[in-house]
Amino acid sequence: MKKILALILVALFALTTLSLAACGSINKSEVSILWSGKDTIEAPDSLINCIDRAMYIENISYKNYGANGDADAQYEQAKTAVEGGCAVLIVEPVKALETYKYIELAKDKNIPIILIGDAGISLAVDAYNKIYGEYDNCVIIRTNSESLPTVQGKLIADYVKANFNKLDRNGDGKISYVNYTSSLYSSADEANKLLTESEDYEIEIGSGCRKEKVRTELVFYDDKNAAKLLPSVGAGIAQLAIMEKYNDEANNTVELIITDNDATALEILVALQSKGFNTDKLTTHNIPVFTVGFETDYKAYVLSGAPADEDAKKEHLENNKYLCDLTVVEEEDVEIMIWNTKNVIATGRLAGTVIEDQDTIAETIASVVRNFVNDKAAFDGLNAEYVSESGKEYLVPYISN
Amino acid sequence: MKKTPKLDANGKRKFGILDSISYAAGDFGCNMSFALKGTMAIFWTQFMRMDSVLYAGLLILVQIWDAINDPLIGSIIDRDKRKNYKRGKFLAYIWLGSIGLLVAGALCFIPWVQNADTLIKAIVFVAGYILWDAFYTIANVPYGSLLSLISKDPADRASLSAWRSVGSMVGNMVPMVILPMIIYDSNNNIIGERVFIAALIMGVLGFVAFQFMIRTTTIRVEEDITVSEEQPKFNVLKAMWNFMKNRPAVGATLGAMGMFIGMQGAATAVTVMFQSYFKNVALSGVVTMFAMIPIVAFTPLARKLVVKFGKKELSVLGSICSLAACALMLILPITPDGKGLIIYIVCMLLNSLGTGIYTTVSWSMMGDAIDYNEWKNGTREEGTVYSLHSFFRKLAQGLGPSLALVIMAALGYSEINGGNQLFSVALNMRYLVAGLYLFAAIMQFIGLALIYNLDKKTLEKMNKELAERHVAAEVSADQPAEQ
Repeated sequence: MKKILALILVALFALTTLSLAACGSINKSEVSILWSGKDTIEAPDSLINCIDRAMYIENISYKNYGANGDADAQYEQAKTAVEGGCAVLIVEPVKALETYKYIELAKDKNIPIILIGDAGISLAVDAYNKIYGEYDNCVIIRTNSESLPTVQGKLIADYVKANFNKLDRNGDGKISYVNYTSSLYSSADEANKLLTESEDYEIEIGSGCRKEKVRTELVFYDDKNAAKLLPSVGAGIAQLAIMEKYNDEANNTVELIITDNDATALEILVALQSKGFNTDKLTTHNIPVFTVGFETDYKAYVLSGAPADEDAKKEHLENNKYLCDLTVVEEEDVEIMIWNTKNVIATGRLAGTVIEDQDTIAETIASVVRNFVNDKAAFDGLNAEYVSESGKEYLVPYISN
Repeated sequence: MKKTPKLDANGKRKFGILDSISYAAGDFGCNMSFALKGTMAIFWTQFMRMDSVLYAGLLILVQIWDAINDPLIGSIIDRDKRKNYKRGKFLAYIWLGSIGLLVAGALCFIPWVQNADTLIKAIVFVAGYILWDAFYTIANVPYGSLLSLISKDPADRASLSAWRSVGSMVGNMVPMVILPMIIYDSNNNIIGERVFIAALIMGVLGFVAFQFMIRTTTIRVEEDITVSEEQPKFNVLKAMWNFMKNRPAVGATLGAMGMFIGMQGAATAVTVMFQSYFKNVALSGVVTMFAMIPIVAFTPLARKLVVKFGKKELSVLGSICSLAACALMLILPITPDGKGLIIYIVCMLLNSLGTGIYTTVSWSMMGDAIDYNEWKNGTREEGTVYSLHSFFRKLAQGLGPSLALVIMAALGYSEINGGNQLFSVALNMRYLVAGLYLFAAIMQFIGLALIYNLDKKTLEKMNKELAERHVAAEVSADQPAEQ
């Protein structure tokens, strides 16, 4: 028995030593990440939190720097990081137009640079390359904005297929919709491609021997509007005006709403709830709203309108409880509470959203850092489908939630 | 042609596999409500948004009540001397308990007070728990005693005991694996309404199992079994002092307490870890079930190994195995990806093997502790030792989750953010899980290796001397009759 115990202890010691030795941390200088805003991790869904996780998995030591919207401060941070000999520089530029400054800094010291942001970054880098030539160790990792209509379209088509009977309020076999957007893309067109053409999107109606398969499509509520869209600015007021004319009494309710950002979705939701929709009667009074993003703080919206007087405040919170029920949150919890679009979707008051795939972006950043440090090609081992034609951009599609 | 069942000498159906399956169904029925206990902390903190520290405090209160509830209901059952029960007193009480458990489990998960005041929620929680606890005890306590009434034969009783474990395992495993897959949404947040429905469904399944057990149980022993030990004048302080002087009892109890504080304490942290660290809470049940494989494989070998090595020796080896596994869990790079998950599972396999070795012999170690009392002091004090051991076990079952919740809150856990905690908090949970398991393993080691003093040699000596004393006592008891 004593021999067995001794063997176990020796094995444990050996295993511990080996495991510690096997930890391949990046022992060179830290990786520096320069954020356009804050450098503190406050929201679980944020890219900065996802990077915290991804860097931990890859065992990469790094440091966050926040510019708080000050482009000059960010440039100084970049200079300090580069002169301090950081292993890799990751920048989310405050101003896309000044992206070239960071590339120059990194190029000068032959430090790899990863740029993160939106499509504006790509344009800025293209401009830089045309003038100064390409820097081999400069890559861009961002969301593929062109994937948005496809992803949102599928989300909508899936919802329509699953909820057709409830959606078709007037029983005409079509789903009337309104689209509030500031861009020219149309998720409705993408949804219709699936609903009208794909075998998987035939809809079963009826029961027993009266079951049949039908097809449906999204139809813009106003056939005089050739563009089939309304501006997202002033969407709340527009929606109220629409509901005056298009409603259950007139048997022509607009049955589905598409928006391109969740701040607009918040305005729409407020308008719908003022007319008794999307509150606690979701089985009969629900108009599905699809949006993009999740960062809008519904709690801040509710609190921003709260009067100072205690009784009036209570009434205000009660009136807005279908957006965010702060009447039941303890005061000390209000500060830390997060209530964004994802939470509202979970309560059923919004139908779905399309979001940037922060986890994949973060994992990609960590993998690219490791590749740079190990002198490998930036996107080695990653999904080749997401690499751009130029080979310098990694474009991650949106995902639905 | 209908088969005529074989009958024994007393005209009762001969003991067979039906008795074992029937008895197993009883524990399955009990676990159809007990298995949900592990979900309570997440339900009440994340879904009902009760403050974690408040919940921890309420949990200690109801667990203290739990410890009192058992002997209370036991004495009610004992004092019931009516003879006109159709199937016998114990089966009648089990039937009563099963009716209550149809809905009592669900009473602990009422989702419609989610938006009520904190006081209302606290009342609902406490009331629901007490009701559930009462019905569970009404069913469970006589169920345990039923074993003695089904057969007198030691081999039959051993079979019933083994099958009880099977029923318990199935009753635990099925909800453990399936529940996490259905009560969480795609963002790893708990859906309270589904927990309520699941509890109702499990109540019905439990009821069906209990009815099967009641209808297929054959009572073969007509003895007046008492459920609770009667103490003519129970002096708490004296009983505690005697218990503290009983070194094996203290050691075995410390081992059990360590196990419950660590493992039950870790349960909530494990769920949060799977929600926010591995980001896949649906896997948690499968992983836990997988980790039980070593102990399932070990149980059939337990008897042979105990005979060869001794109970203390075997359980100390088990605690060292757990110690090693938990130390590894703390040190090894368990990253929040597939690789890290595999390392976690392997560590859990070893840990549960180590703990499981102890659990297979734990109750018999208490039996030896009672014999030790007789050996050293001439008195057994069975009831006192068992009830104090049970009391401390129950206390640990409540203390564990409560302490763990307080620590979780201190490490940044915010119940208001549900299954979506910051990564830094998720990382804290990963280390807390390993730390709690390690704490459990250390306490088990201290209790079993350093305090429990009945090794194989000492046990053999004790049993020999006790046997000699019993023979001598029988001889001297016969002598006056001869004179």
